[in-house]
Amino acid sequence: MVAKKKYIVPENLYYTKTHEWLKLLDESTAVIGITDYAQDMLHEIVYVDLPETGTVIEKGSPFMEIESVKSVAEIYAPVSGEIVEVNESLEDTPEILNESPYEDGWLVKIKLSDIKELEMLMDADEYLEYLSSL
Amino acid sequence: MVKKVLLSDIHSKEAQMTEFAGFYMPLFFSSILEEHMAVREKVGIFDVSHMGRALIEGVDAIKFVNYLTANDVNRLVDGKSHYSLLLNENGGIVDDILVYRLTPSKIMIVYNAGNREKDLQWITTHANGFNVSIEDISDRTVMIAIQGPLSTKVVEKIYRKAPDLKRFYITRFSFKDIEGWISRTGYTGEDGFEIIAHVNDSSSIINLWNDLKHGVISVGGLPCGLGARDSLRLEAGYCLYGNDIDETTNPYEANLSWVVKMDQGDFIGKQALQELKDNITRLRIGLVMNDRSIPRKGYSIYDCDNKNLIGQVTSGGFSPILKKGIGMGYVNINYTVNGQRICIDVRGKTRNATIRNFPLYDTDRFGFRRKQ
Repeated sequence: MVAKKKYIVPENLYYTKTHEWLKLLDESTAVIGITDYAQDMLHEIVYVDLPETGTVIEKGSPFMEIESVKSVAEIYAPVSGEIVEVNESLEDTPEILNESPYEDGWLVKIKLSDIKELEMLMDADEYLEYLSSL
Repeated sequence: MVKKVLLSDIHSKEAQMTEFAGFYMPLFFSSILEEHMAVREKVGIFDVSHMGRALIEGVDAIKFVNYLTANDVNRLVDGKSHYSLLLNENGGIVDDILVYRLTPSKIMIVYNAGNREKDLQWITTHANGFNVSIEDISDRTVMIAIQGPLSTKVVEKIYRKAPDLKRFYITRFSFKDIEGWISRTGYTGEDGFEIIAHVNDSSSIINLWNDLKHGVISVGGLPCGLGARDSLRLEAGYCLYGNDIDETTNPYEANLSWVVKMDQGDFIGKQALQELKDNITRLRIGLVMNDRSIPRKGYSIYDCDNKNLIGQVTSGGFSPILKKGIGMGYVNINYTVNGQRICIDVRGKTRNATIRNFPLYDTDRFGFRRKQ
């Protein structure tokens, strides 16, 4: 097998086992994206099927899809909430998800319905440990 | 148990590897999209040693292969090859293959990696009564494909007369301490060559791969994996056995009737084909998505107006040339017109597509028939 790659896992983000990240913007809004590992596994991303603002998403349920040359991936909501903004630039330039998964390639912003759900997510250290177990 | 080809461990140092048909092969070296474009615009090198290769030798070689395959081997001269099919008695496709007439008593067959054991058994079983010997040489040869408009520039470094080798012809070559065959064939739609080299010692094969790879890179090309191989063959309209054709599909519905030569002697499946010829209900077609979506294997195809189920996608992917989702599939015979609008159920959502003749790219600009 190929030696395990080093993936970027920024501090101060929350992570899921399905490789989404969440960054708290203030006490009730957050931005969601996919991790460096997720974009690398998908390989070249060609379509991002964005949800509409106002959509209510439920923790652990799929709410959008990302397609790469290799496969299609469902993106799961790290927490429950309502979508307040989507990254429309992904429609025309989906490749920024590969280039900048934590910054320019963010997916959606949501209004959290229950901030306590964050406690069930992993921090950077826990996610790194999880990645090394894969 | 995943099998390795001779160069698997070499590739694994620089490629993302995958398992395909039981073999540990490169999926991509750098990027599927870039590798695909390198082959369409310049040149790419692929290790395709997972493919099966067998020699059929003996005084009955031509007679036997004629009985075994649907194309007419009598049409081949020495040193020429053609695409052909192994059929079963029902006219179903056992495998799609390349048949190379090396001499009047020696034929080489190249078959699919996933069918190596099945084909060898099939060929051996049907050789009863023919004076031939059959030998699988897959494990003691490697197979390397050099594909793209600049492929001649790369291959002439190891075989000086490469520019003179015509499409579908094959010849012996030797380079340094390596011997083998070079043919002007491929699975990408582009001009290109396939090299089958005998393995004497592995270091000379590694050197051959590296020499060819550096040749490819020096003219702006790339080493390529099976990801680009799949998207290239899909744009060109070539079948992937197990996806687009199998023992339940016949050559007529697979749109491979041009391969079948009925005006020759008996061959396995011929009788069944006479019945099947005028009774097909579905046809293999190409499709291009109009919506931003990628069709994938198993998705249902519908009539957009009355929502009737009319077919199924058998292969799909993203076309780097068209920058759209493309696919291959079977549809009801009434819907097979070029330009026909169809609808595809993409995970519960209706997406629009158009039926298109292969190749899906502009043949004036890409492919082996391109205008220079």
